[in-house]
Amino acid sequence: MKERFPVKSALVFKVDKLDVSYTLTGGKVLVVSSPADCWSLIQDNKLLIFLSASLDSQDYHNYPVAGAIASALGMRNESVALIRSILHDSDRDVASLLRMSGIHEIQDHLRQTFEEPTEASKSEDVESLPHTETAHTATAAKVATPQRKLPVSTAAHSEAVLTVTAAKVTASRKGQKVPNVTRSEVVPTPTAAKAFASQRDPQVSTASHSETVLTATLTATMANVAALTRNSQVSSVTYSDVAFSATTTEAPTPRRGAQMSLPQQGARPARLAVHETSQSKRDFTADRSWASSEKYIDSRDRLEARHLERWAEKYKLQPAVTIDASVRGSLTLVRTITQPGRRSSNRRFTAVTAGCLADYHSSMGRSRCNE
Amino acid sequence: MVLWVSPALQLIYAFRDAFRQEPLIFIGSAWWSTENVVWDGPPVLTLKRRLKLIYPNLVTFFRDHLGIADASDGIVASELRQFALTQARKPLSREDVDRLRRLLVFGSDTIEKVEKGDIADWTISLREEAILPIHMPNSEEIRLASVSSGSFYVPDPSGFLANVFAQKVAFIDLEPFMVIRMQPLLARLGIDNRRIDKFVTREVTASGAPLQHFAADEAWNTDETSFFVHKLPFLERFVLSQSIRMVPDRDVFLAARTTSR
Repeated sequence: MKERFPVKSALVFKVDKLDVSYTLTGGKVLVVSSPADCWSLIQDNKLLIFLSASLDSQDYHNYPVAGAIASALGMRNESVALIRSILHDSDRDVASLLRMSGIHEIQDHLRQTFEEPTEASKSEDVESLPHTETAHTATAAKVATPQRKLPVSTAAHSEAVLTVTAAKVTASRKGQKVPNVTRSEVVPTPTAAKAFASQRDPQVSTASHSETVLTATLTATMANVAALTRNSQVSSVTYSDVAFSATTTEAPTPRRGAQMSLPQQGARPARLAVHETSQSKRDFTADRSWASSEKYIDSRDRLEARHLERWAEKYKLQPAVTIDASVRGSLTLVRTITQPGRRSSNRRFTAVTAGCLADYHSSMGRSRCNE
Repeated sequence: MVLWVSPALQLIYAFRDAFRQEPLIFIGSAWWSTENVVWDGPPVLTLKRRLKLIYPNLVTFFRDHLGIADASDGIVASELRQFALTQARKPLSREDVDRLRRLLVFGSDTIEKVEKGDIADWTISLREEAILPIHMPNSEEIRLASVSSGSFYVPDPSGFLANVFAQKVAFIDLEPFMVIRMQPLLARLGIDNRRIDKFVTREVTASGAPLQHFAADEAWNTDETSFFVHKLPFLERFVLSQSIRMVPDRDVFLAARTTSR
């Protein structure tokens, strides 16, 4: 699959003579050469632009240059006009033009959420994982493949979001010795990620056992939130990380209104793009440029999602926002579980869940086709 | 045994006989026989006239009493064959080319029915007929050629390579968008593999050196590079915006619900 924007930098070469030769080999071999003002190609994540020496700097926005760049970026001819404007106009004018075209920039305070976490925070994540008597912790693979890159505004921030955050599921089983496993391998390709996902311990996905105490912390990428904010009718979306837990059998069913979930501070997967605890919330201003990430569905993920929904409903955990999105080969879910207390919450939860599951099903075909 | 026939039916039979024997259908300024008319049919018909357009209220008379049927989609074969007979061995006028294109486009639209078996494969009988308009190199002439001659190329969908080689080799005279539209017919006739882009290789040289080798050891131009690097964030935003897939409305609805609490 092609990267959405494979260019990290650009190099420009001015050459004395630029020629394009077309060789026809259908019957008698024919060669037609024609001089060109500009040619462009992408090599090793660099946009290489070759300009004819006869081309003046005042002509950089002309059709051949814009057309060559559009072609190298895999864009259609209709895009050439806007690329010409990008090359010709001042930054301010270009920003205004893009905004008028519905292409918005990402605001600075949101860019920070894509920053790579420090090594210290990574180790802190691992150390503070919740463990009970015996714990089984499985962290779904971080997909470090460029194909999973999410839309951001600048190349400088692209690297930070190459990692698509996966869910972290921690399951503890009372009275049983379950080996403590922590997985946080970086899986560089979708295929490897898928293979990794298939290795997940079935005990995690079948955690509906009556004696199981399941603590799940599910987080998601910014793009999933942005998927909701793309419509201009939505000014903001309150997003918080999910953190919910429940106990079956021995644990009494908590009374309505009680705090069911505690924020799992350390449960954040490494290189998490977006993470808020269930206590702290944050508003994200709607920004259409974020757009949605592609949803890659895994049947195992759907099973887990359904299980968690049933489980949350059983224990009256009320979600404020439920957005499900799976990244192929790893689990990526967004849940917001807040304090119960509203009568309509159950109904809302059901509606939201149904919508998300329906979306899962409708996305299945596309995701398979993309593979 | 004597077969009794009602007077009305006797009259109908009499009409049928009369119309079969003599050209009694007045169209335009001439009289046409029933062999040269159809009740309804595709608009590209030129050999037969469509009575529905001329006498729309006489459907009972023409269809039921005289037994004039509709033309099938396969009639395009007759039209093409007739066109080839009358236009062979001479350059086509622009009007002829337009008419031929319409016939071919209509024929292409019927290929789905052919493949489903709804109508007979009318293309088989035309393989050796000169039914394709061919633009000759080094001239503006358009002549007819048969499918089996194979001495022509099909333009690429963008038309770029067709332009590059327009003066060097013969092309089937179709606009690029028509190549896409007529893909079913081209495939049926087995000439879709003559598309020019399947036979062309491209090489770009900068000062005589291929670009792939050029980038490794040549110094880049600092000023120009900084200019384009500066524009990269905008290009990235633009490219990403084009690759965005629309979010289903349901998601937005859900967001609205959840934020309106």
